[in-house]
Amino acid sequence: MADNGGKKITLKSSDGEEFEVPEVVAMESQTIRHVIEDVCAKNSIPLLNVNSKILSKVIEYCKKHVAAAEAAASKASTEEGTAAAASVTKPSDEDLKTWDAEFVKVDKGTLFNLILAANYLHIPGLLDLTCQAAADMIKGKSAKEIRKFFNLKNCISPEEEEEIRRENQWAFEEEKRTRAFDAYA
Amino acid sequence: MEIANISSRGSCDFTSKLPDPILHHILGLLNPKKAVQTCMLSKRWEHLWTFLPSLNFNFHDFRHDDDDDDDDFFHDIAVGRFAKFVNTLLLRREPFDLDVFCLSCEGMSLFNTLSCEGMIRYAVEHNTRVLHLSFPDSVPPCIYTCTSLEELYLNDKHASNKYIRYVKMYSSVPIVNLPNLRKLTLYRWALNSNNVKNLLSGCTILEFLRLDSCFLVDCVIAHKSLKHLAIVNCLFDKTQLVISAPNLFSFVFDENFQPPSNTTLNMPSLAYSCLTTHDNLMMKYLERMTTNIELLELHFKRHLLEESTVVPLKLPIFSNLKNLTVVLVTFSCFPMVNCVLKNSPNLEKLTLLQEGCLSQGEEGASTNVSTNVSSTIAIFPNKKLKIVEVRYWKYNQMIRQLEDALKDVYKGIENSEDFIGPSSGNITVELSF
Repeated sequence: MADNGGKKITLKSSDGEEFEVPEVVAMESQTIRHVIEDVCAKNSIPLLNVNSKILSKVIEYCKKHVAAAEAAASKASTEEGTAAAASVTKPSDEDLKTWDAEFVKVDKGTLFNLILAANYLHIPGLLDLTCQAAADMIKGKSAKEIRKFFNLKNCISPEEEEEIRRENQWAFEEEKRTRAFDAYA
Repeated sequence: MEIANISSRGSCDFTSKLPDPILHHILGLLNPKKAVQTCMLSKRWEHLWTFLPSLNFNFHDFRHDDDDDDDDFFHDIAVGRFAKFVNTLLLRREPFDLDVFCLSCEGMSLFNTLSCEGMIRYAVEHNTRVLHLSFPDSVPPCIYTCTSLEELYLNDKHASNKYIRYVKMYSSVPIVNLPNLRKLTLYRWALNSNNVKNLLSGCTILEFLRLDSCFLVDCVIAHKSLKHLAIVNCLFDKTQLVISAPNLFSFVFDENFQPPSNTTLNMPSLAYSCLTTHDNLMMKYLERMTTNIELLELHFKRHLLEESTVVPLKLPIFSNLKNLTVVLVTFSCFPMVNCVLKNSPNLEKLTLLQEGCLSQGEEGASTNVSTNVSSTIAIFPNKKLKIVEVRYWKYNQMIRQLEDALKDVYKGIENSEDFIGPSSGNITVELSF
């Protein structure tokens, strides 16, 4: 339905690959929207910060969400409307959520590149989705595990680490009952 | 321009290419304790948490699962820990404006909530955009003049019905000045005509209002810019309900105990409505339904009488109604549904769901339908109808009768396989006249 003879625009990735997409899909990116609206008559937009692999994923996300929005509009219910309602027509919302969850099941590198692309292209929904996925990945991890996950180079000396910990002792207090009295110290 | 490209292989730091604001955003999605603990990760992360744009504090996280709720000693210790953590964080956080502030004091006894007032004041002073409070007793009045607020969620989960009725009923809402508030949700509140008026008049651009599990006495909801209204699981105590919202686009009414004795609805712009109620009230609401309605959902609640008297409804013509969804409990809903169908000449899609469908096959009244139901179901053949969908979780007599009725009305369907359903499933009929 989005391809119904609507205006098409070409997006060019950093590694030279070209993607032709309907204008309405490309406009999911606020960055691209400004380019189209302010610098009119652009047929091909080069995106120097996004490679073809990531760009194709981003386009996939935008296509899906534009289609979902159009389907919802045809039911005369806005996003807020379905949020307000305990609606049986909600299955489409659930489907979209499921799709989104599958969409972010990618390797770390791809996820972080998606975050960067969503930020650069200014696509709020994609940024929220990918940041949440990143947060979910580190939720249950210890500091050591997080460092490993992010490949962080630990440039803090043990003395410095001890000092940081002491300064922020209030955030490291264990919840065990035996230490309950320490909380009052 | 440097191409930012993070490779999964290799030993580069994944986060080095992510700018600080993105890391702040991610930190805001974590438990606040966890977010602060990232100060240990590396030099860069030491102070990142101090820029948290969103804060979400939950007292429940500071209690042990095996804490005895009545055990004051450990409860007070937990309160101490909670207050210490939150207050230290707020003190050390960079003093810039907040985006989202959530505070849940569930489980905290009333006397201890004074310590939380300071936390709420912090949020107000830092111009929070979104505020979620789950707070026993009255909220500090400073929130009502927090002009930066765009979204407000107030949950008074501790209030029992009795408490609401005899005490809260008479507490008035102070001066309200929330010129940027678009979305308001009240959970477990007691509202009478006075405090509703005070609230609404102070929220000049309010678009979304949800009243959930509230106690509504003589409730008059009158607002110029309101677009979405949901009244869910509330108690009316048989008083009146008046809704006057000229720009209302969607209305959800999920009944509700001791329903209003008298309802006045003035929603000329209404396009979408979802009504969940008993037959008698459903009739009243349908008779008062806006003629411009485009999408209607009717959920018939379990019906108490053996058979309802079929009273012909005086319905207006719903010339814009394109999409009708009905959740059926028993056959007795059908005369009413038929009335709606007759008055909807431009209906394009009809969806019929068996009750219990949404809750994955819960036992509903439909399984206990007596076989002595009156006539067979008649379905009015709407000329513009394009698609009829029936969804069920248990193939019972009602579904079989629905099938037969559909076959009667829409003759000439080639693929009779459409009608043969497994024990749970869909019957979809796509029509072309």
